[in-house]
Amino acid sequence: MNKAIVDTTILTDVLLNSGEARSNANNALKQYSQTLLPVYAIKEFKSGPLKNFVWMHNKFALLGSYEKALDALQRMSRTPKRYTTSTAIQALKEAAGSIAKVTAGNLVDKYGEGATYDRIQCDELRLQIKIAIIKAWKKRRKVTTDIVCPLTCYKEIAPFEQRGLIELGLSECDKSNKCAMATLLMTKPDDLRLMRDAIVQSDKPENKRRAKILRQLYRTPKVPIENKDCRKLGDAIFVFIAPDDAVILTTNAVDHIPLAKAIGKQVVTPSEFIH
Amino acid sequence: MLKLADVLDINDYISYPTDSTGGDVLKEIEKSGFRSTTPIMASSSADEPSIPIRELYPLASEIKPELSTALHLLEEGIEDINISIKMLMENDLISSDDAIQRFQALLPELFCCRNLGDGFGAIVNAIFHSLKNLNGIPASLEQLKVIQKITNRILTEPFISFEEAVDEIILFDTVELISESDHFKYVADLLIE
Repeated sequence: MNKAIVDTTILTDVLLNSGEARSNANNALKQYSQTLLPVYAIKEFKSGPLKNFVWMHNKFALLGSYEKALDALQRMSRTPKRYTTSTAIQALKEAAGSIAKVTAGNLVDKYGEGATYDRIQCDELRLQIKIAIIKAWKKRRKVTTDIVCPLTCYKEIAPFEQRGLIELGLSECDKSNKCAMATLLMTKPDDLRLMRDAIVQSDKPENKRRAKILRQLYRTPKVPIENKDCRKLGDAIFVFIAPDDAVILTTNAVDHIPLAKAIGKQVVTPSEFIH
Repeated sequence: MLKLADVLDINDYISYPTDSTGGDVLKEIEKSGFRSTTPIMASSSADEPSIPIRELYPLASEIKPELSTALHLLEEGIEDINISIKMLMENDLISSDDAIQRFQALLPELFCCRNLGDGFGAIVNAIFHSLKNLNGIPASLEQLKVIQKITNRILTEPFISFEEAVDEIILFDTVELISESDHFKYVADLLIE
């Protein structure tokens, strides 16, 4: 099998991540002669990781202080993986490789506040995040060999700048159009049922929500689904639209495997290609 | 005899002046959203602007002092890059690396001139981290040429738009220059759920 459908986690690692995660994702993509990216992944990417990057950029831009922006980031990151968060925040506070570390102190006399340690670090990271956002958007359709499953209800609006902040524009689907993804999913109600049955007993809240929408799609196909429902489907969409001769390439195997097994599809992670 | 449905490529009907010696070739200015048919003369060295940059911004020091400082530092930096490339081509690795280190030392002060625009700041920042991420390993000729090109671009266009700056920075990927700081990975980690 030399074809892979790429999910949002891989797209994100290639476009926004750095270091090992990015090189692993790129390496995994190289293993396949044909790689497919559904437009749904772009939609998910924009309303998820890209939105977080935009938030961080705007925080730096508004606060104009590295220290204050890091405090805001730390407060937002109080997730169960707190240890990882505190380690990352500590590394950010140290920022050993920052350009500020080699900027002479006397430059403050010449350039004013813009040459202070805090301000330099703030702009340094803000600009890197801004580059990442614009670069990611420019390259989003170049990550794979093919773009598949266009969404007639979704417009890919590029991020833009307004009053020094980055705006993402509309990230939701056009409500006047019928949900293109729901229309496609309803062509195979048996697959929807099998996927729903595979996750309905799961303890994960996201699986419970997904199971509910899947059921709605095959039980009451005439009831239109909302934009938030489309987002809740998430991993089920990649599994569903993966061609029979393609693997599903993702870093989130845990959530994809039960769905994929239910309809006879295969999941592969980039770590499988690390020797 | 052409059929009605044939599509003609206008390029097949235009002859461009060429110069096999690689010297002064007539070029067209091409920019997104703007196309001029006015020919400009490329300089004898593709890396040097034909008009002294100071003549383009004669009142730089009065209008925007950072512009004057930036142009001065960039001119000095480009000289260092040119030396680095020349020395590398002559196989003098030490002199080549030494010259690029001098250029590297200018970058923190150049970054202090970033209120010229985010495009300018982004490029200076990207060059700084690209060189830093080499971890002391001398830059290759291809890498130096990309740095030379982008530095020349901000010398001639210090007010470069952010979008265009990103297009230039994307070229770093092609020569394996990593333009993000080492601590960027931590912020990326926290923002990617």
